[in-house]
Amino acid sequence: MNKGRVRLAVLLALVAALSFVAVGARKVATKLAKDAAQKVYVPPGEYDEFYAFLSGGFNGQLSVVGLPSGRTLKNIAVFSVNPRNGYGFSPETKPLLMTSHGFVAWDDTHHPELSMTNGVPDGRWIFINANNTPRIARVDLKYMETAEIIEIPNSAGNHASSFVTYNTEYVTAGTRFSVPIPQRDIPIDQYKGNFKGTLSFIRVDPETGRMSLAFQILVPGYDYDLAHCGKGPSKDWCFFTSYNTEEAHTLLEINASQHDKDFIAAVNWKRAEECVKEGKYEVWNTPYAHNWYDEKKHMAFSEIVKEEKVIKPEQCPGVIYFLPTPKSPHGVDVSPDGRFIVGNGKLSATMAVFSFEKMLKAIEEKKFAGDAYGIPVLDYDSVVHHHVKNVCLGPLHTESDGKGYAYTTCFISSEIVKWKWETGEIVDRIPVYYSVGHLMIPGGDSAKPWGKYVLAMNKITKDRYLPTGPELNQSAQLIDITGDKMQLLLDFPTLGEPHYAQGIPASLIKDKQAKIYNLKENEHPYATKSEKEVKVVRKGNEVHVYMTAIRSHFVPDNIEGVKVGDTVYFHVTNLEQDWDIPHGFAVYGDDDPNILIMPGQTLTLVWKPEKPGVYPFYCTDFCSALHQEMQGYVRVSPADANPPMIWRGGGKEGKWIVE
Amino acid sequence: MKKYVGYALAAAAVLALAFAAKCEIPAKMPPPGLPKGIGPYAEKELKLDPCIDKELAKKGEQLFEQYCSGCHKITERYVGPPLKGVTLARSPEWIMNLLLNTEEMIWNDPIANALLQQYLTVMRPSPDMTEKDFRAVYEYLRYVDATDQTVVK
Ligand SMILES: [Cu+2]
Repeated sequence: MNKGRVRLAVLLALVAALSFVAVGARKVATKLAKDAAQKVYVPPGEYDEFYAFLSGGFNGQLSVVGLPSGRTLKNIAVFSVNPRNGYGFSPETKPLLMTSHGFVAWDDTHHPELSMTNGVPDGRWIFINANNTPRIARVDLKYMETAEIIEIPNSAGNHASSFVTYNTEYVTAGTRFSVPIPQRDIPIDQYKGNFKGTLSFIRVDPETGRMSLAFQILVPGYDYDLAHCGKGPSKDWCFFTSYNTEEAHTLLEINASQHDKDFIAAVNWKRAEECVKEGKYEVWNTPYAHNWYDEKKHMAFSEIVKEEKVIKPEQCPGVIYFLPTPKSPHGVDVSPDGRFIVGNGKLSATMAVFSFEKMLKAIEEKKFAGDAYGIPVLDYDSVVHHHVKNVCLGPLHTESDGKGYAYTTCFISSEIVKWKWETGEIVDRIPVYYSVGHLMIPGGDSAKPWGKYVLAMNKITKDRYLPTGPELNQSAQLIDITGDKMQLLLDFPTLGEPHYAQGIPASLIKDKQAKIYNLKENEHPYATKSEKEVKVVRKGNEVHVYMTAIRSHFVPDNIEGVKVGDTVYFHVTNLEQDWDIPHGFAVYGDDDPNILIMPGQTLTLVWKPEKPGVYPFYCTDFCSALHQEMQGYVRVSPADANPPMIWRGGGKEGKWIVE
Repeated sequence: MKKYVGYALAAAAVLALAFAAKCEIPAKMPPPGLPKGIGPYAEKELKLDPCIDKELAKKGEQLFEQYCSGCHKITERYVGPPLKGVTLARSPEWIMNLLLNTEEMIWNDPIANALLQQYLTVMRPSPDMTEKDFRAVYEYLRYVDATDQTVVK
């Protein structure tokens, strides 16, 4: 490889990225127009070939996008409330957002990863992390809704998360921000030696997907940034990058960029399991929340757990080794065959590719260059397979196409570079607009990539779309990787800030989609399964309305007897058993968003009326020709009044039950 | 004129059969020659017993309550038309076709389509309901028409 040419290319890319971007972009667009359009065109009524799941970053959500069209199919609220359906407001969903710090309705989602069987995405669940108040969520891909959230104790900046082992035995979580563990009040400048990180392994029940914190490994106070678990020969291991091995606590931009090499932590989770079996752990008592949604009861539950197993590396030799890695590495990625591990050193133009086989040999032969807080540091030359030299400026992440090639994103030089896993030879590069972060090839971090497209998720949008004021949506770009040369096909805006994403052939998911909640199996304690069961119950100041919705009426639709000071619970059951016929429910003056009730589902809206009057409620989802008629009234009387307690609806009139 | 003769004959035949079988609840039969609609019963005949199967009607009543009553009442208009008299106005085959082949029936069968235009809501029987379940609901509606009662006793 000609060094001068690479430098020139990098320089040109930089110039393109930083200044004359608009001109360059337009040229690319015109040149592309014809055959690219055919490759991304999905005719009306036809389906996309792939589902893509894009994290939403600071919107706390997970976007479901069809590829190659780039159409957004759904936005799943995970670590956020959702005005669309009342997620995070309704009593059924609120417990999902409970933590040991109380109700936390927002977070920063980064790295979705699909559950896997034998290293291949199986389409059952997708896991995603909350970076800010450390949590891991499991989204059930049958319903495409959040099914479970577990808080990670003894952690902060939950960023090296939620990566899945070969057969979804575990989901991992690592601390980007080391903190005093357990938390305590100490001066920040006593960081060194006092601040720690943890690498957590969350067990996933193979049948139900239910998560439980299996063990945490206590590690030195570096910043554990990203992770990926091994495959094939390396399947018992997970790899975590770290930066700030300087253990700086201020101006990290400079102070954490001193060392030429930081570390990749290689964790042998099978060894950790042995140590747990042999009792080589401590039981700590940092409380954390575990929340799950009960599919039958249509309701989430939350419990606080107060026990976790903490493994100290010195008590469990062989559980962790450090691989020196140039320089402040960001992503760590494993080749599909599990033989190679690449550290994407964001401050180095050279990437180190490690050999797993060499790593095992070096461990066996004790080829250590020293230790860090008692953790063996492997000799660099004994574990490196090769270097990918002069890749680009700011390499961040790598995915694979399953044909022997790796694709690395370069943030500073705004490009994707294609190279050979085996030799490190660079074979192609393509500019992206602008400043790409993660990339995603469907299955591209698994043992069996579907190497047809790469999706570049760019951090800077600038002039790519019609301007929308100072704030612009982040931009994604779809690139065809079936030929020798990568070909840019499509730009599309995304929601929030996608970090990582996952992709899977639609055929593995689409036929398993739930279309309704079966009314017969609805075990919600306030379900009203037919209009005959409708009732209104007063329990002191609580009024429970057992309500039904069906095209195009609510029963009851007149309610009298509510008084100021009451809390009214509208438990609405959608009696429909037909796909895509939700009903919505909102009442005048309510603080919370509407609830959107799926067919066969029960959801609750809680309302505290403050003034006497007659308040309308209505269906918020245009459900039928007579949708506009789907309305009703609640009468609210003064606190000291004695109104009749009655309801009407469905051609009937009823009296309240007073308990 | 010929039609009425047919009705009379049919009624006489049913009565005769019912008496012969000594029904607890003799059914009222629909007149012959009604359209059968489109669907699995278009070419088939649904043989009706001259006696009401009370057990089946009871099961049908429960299913009606659970799956149909959100939209249909017996004597009043609701989301859809009142169902009293339906087993006399329509052939059993037409009703079964409507329940089993709803989408096609409401758009392509002239009677069902006229009802859609009148009530303006698309009918959607529950996907949980089997052919046997629909037959039970039909028996319940037959019971209603035979006895003028809405509760099977
Ligand atoms: Cu509605």
